[in-house]
Amino acid sequence: MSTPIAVTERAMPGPETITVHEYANGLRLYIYENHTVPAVVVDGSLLAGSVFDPREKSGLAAMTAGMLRRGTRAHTFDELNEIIESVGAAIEIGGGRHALDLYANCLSEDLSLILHVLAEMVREPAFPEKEFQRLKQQTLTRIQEREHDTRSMAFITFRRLLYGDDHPYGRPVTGLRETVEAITLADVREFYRQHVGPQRGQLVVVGDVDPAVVIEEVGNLLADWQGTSLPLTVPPVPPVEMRREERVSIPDKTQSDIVLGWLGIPRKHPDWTPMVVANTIWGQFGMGGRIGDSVREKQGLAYYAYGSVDGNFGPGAWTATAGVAPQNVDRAIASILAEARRLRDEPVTPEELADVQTFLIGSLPIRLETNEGLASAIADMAWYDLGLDYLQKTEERVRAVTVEDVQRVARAYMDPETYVLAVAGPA
Amino acid sequence: MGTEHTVADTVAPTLAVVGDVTRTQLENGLTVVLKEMHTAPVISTWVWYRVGSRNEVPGKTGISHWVEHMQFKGTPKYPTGTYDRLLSREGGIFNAMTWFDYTAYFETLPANRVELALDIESDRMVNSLYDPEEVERERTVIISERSMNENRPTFLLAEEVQSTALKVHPYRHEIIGWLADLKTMTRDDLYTHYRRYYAPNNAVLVLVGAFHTQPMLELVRRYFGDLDPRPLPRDVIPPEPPQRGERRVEVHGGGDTHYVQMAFHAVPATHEDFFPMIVLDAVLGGAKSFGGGGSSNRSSRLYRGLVATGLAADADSWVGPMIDPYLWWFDATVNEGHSHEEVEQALWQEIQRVQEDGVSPEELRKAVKQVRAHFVYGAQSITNQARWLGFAEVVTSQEWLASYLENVAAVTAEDVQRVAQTYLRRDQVTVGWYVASTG
Repeated sequence: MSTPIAVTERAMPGPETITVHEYANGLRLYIYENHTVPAVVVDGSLLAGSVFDPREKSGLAAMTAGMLRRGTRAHTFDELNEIIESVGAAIEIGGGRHALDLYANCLSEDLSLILHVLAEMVREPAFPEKEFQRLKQQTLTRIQEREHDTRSMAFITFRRLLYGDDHPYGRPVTGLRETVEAITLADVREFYRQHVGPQRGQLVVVGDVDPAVVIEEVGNLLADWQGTSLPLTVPPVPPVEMRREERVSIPDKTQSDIVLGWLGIPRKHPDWTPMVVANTIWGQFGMGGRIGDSVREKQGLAYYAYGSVDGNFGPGAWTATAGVAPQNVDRAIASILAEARRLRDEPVTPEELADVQTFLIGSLPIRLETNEGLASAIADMAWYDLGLDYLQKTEERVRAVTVEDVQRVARAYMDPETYVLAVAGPA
Repeated sequence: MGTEHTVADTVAPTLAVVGDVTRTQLENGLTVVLKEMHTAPVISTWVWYRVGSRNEVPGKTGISHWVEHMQFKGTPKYPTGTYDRLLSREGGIFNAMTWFDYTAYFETLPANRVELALDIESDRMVNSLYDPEEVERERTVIISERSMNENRPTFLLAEEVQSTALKVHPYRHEIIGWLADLKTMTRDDLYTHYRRYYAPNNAVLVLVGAFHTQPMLELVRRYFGDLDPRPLPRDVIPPEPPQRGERRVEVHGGGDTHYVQMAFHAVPATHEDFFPMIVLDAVLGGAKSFGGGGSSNRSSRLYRGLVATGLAADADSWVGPMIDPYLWWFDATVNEGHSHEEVEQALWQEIQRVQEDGVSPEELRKAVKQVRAHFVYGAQSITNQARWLGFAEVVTSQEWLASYLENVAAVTAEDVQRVAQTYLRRDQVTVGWYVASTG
């Protein structure tokens, strides 16, 4: 019998397959061809995120991002929606911590149209008063819903405790009720003028495209854009010196959400890969790693219980999350902390480490199957300046992590006495 | 730049998803659907069982979903917890899902590890243990899953609307089941359900990815060919009696935000009005990708009538392909300063407008293009293509999937108006209001 397995080689994106073009105004374009289907994804970032929000107007960057989508000098919001949706495409503009995020997907036959619209939105926003009022009202309704959502409130509270009220990472990107209410259209215009520009901006285009054509088209649309951007800054994060804990009461709920964790590291930190490996053992591998095994599989306490790490230009967080019945909150917290202690006190077994390494390496082809997956991975390499060979070196990086590294990062970053804990649920 | 742009070629003659599907049946009744896809060194393996909450009876609601959870709890060959490790360390992704009409399991793995998936799936089709202690631990996990849902006001409201709109058909209860049943079902109930429905002659195996069809079929025979068929139950699923007049429910609960939902009776996937219904749904609430979410719906009629006017923070609709008649949903989140009445009134106004004035050729053209685009986007993923093929097999047929776009494109403005008049009637609605205690 001949073999049923077909040989399919799919190279990992890297310097030799990603076309890079930098325009004179500082905007960088990254193009990767994927001709699987006749479609394209555009993933862009401009340096205009919520870190620039004035404290009393937090949510301003997100509101500005939203307003770019809501009308240009040439087209009303309604007309833009009609143009985009008529061709089954999407354009979304949203606020992030450091980045103003642009996202578009479309059939390749419509790429020119979509690039035109996207360029119009970032260069010639009209900021119509009526749309501003609508967006503000919608944002306030979302915040109102969020205030009664246990998971959102646990995360928001956790970040406030971890980074402090004064740090921009400590506030939700969408803002708070009172800060959103305080934002005026004049604030949005001013934020746009100060921050939304091409310097250090990037566009990643992935899909069924011809790079030379894309370079020319984007050049025609954006090369003469002269908006400004302020430089990248991350305020320092004061260390957590004693345990911080807060329990938020949300009446009439059935279960509580727990977020417990520590200050992590920036995305480009040398400990990033060891921390990802350690977290995968602690809270990801299989069904939630050791945390899932203890909290869900062995004790039956939760439907979800897992660990995660995030990182940005500044330090992210290393957290565990679980949703449990109110009477089981303390038991779940104790279990999470017990797994943190075990990761610090006992070396992981070589088998456990090897399993997690093959998982992190082997799952890449699935993650990189679609235009979205490819664009997001390439955008990360570019935005955090990791090097365009970062994906290709995944195997090397992950294989280099040792049993000692896992224990070292656990000891360095997760202190089972000095942690930050937020619980939101019924009183 | 101008607004002019032409939408040429709105109907592609064939979809990427349709080409070269091999469908066959083994002697034991297992349906096998194979499709080669050589875009990544990956194979996605799915097993679909023709059982879901549609097959459940009062007192045992939620049993299909609980059985799905128990299928991860081990066999003599693969004790509990081993799947996670074996699949994950290969870099695989895996999961399972229970729907009204089916229960499905999948593993997407590097192509050269496909036999692991075949071995796991053929083994747990017949050898699962249902250890009583594992059953008890999973009981609390599932109750926790239900609690997570109950934390969302829209779940509480939808559960109430659904069980009011449907009085007899088992689509009336949520897939997760009623809490009382989750507390009382026993290990033997679960095991009996498993033995009754999990058999090759009640299952569909789908493989999509980097393989050669003929030798793959031989491999499939080696893993599944020896499993014995079983006598299948003849479930009598009671049809829903006609609704004679509007029904209304209110759910009161915490929070500051009010919600409105409306549900009408929809036709099943195989009904001649299904495609006009899909097109009308796209015009009203935006096109949805097949089996998944949609992109934005800001040019839809509901958005323009409810969100752009400031009444609601969002407004949406949903109807999908089902074996039996289910529901056509409309929902909206009421903005502060506005009332349930205003939002409900605006929803009716949009429905009436279609009933009285119909839809435009541009709206039809847009719906077709959106459906086509969603198929193209979804076709990138091997896992997703396998999901489409399996879904079509258990809910309708491969032919239905293959001609989906063609059928959408054939819908006329008259069809759409007629469907609006026939199904979106005031005497056929169940209206639900979530009344927030502090809103």
